[in-house]
Amino acid sequence: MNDLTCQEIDESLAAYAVDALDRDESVAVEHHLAECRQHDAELGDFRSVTDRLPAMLDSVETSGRLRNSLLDAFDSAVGAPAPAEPMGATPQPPQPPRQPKRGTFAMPSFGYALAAALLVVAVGLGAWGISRGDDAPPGGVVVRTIEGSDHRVDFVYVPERQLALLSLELPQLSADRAYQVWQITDGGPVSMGVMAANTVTAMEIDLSDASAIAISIEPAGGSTSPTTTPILVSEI
Amino acid sequence: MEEEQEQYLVDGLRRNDRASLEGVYDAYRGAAHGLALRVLGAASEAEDVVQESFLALWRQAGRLDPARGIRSYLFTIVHHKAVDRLRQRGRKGETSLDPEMPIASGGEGPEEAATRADDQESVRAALQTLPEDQRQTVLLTYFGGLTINEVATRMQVPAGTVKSRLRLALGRMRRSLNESET
Repeated sequence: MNDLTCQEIDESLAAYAVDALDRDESVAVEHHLAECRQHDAELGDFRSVTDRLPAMLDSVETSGRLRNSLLDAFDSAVGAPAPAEPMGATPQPPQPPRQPKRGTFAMPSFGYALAAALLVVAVGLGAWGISRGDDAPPGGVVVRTIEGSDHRVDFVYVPERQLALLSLELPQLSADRAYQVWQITDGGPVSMGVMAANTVTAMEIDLSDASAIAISIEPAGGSTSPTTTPILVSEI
Repeated sequence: MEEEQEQYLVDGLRRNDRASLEGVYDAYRGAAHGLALRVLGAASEAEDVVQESFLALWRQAGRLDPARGIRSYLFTIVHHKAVDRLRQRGRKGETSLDPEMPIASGGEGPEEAATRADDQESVRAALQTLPEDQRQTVLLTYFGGLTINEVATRMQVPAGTVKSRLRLALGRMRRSLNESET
């Protein structure tokens, strides 16, 4: 059930949109949709209908207890970083590209650039006293490196601060093409932005729903979803 | 809700702003509860699903496209969570699947009620354009929370036929809804 064809997806897409597939088949469809953009438009069409079906129902009064319970849960949660929804818990709608807050530094040395990027982010956010040795971010820090003969990509993500640092050392592209970075979620790829071939970028971004990051070559200016097979993918 | 107001609330959710969550909750609590109750048929479980759904909406706020509308995202989440819970605990029994029969009323403001009334007329008309087998398939799956295989058993047709009916039904409804807006 893991390798559904596009034709099988087409046959099941409406059922997926109304949550009518058995769990295994639903997961298989989600996996296919995360990799294949051919079904986005049709799924969007189906969702445009299912979004409106609840209008058929009367609204139902809720209790004051529910309101208090919700706000209590919210207050408790914001005391800590917002936990990510479990993967697969909620079908994700097609996502528009999101431009995270970021600053870019054209630096060839990742170590130097990383320090500079951290410093700029810290100053910009006023939240991370990196000069103090005991202020190392708690929780796991994700560090990934993808290296080849003509490229190197370093990725650092601090979940506690929702900060990501990305260093690209990639071959130069023609003027009409650009590298675009994506976070891969259950709902499909979500743009993290278009980046130059040799840059270090610091961004404030929530990657709690991402299972991987990927880089594809897109038309200059970027795409709403990948139009080419990613050249690099790294699980996070 | 106006798009500008939606954007404001989404921005607030992204900043973990409590008042924005309250604003979204006040706007959509009744409709969300109505959907959860329709699928689950049990008030206590429906309230749990509503709470979980608003929290999930907040957690996903960073990825919401306000142009699509909070309501759409919220209903997708509520429906999925309600169906998921329904399948975890087994069927609710044979409750009415006629969406035209109200369960109760209340829990929405005048603006939301007016919007829903307009939408209700359009959706009802679109449903009426469907052949009976397609209409029943939509009602059984979406409002009844039945799987394709369960509907196939109930209607005594192959699962592929149910999928095909559902696809045709949603396609036809989309065209009908589009035409009603032009």
